[in-house]
Amino acid sequence: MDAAAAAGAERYVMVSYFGAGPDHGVPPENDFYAYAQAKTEADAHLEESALKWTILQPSALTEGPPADTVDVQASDAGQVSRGTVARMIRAVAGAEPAAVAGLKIPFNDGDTPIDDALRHVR
Amino acid sequence: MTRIIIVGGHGKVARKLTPLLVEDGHQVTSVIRDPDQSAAISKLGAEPSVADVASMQPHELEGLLRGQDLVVGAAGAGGGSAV
Repeated sequence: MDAAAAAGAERYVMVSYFGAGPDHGVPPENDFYAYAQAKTEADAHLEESALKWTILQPSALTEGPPADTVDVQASDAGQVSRGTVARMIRAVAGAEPAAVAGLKIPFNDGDTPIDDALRHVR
Repeated sequence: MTRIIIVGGHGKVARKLTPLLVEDGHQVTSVIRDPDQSAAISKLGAEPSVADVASMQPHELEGLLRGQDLVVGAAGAGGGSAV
């Protein structure tokens, strides 16, 4: 991220995971702990950077059919198709940078069109 | 057109993403560790860039990212695999 800023890349889209954050709750003895910590720290570092960042936090990934809809309101992680995650990243990349900068979006498979979800997530 | 670089370009999400970005008219570079993956990346329409970002110095990373508008951090995406 520091390198991105230094290199002049103004925007950064991070693919994190649903649940990342200081209260991720994964115990240190769990195999997932190092991953949870690394993602949490990376997200935090990005949030403090001067970049126009967007953090996408998909839940457990599946090979389900890709959809143009998601659920960004859920409070619990469910699952989401990798193809749908790809469409979310595409939508963020194609959006007006200011419209998606500073958004941290946990999401599952769902029924809200991606474009609407990005508009209403704030 | 946006110049986009995907770090973790050979991941499962990244490989689904790449053709979508190319289709939208973006210029896509995919960072991969294994040179053997270059052909697969080219086939998706992206420019492969072989590098191991985890072991690179800041100035090397900066060189890798120079000229790009948007970085997609897709390495180790998602909270594990449900399927």
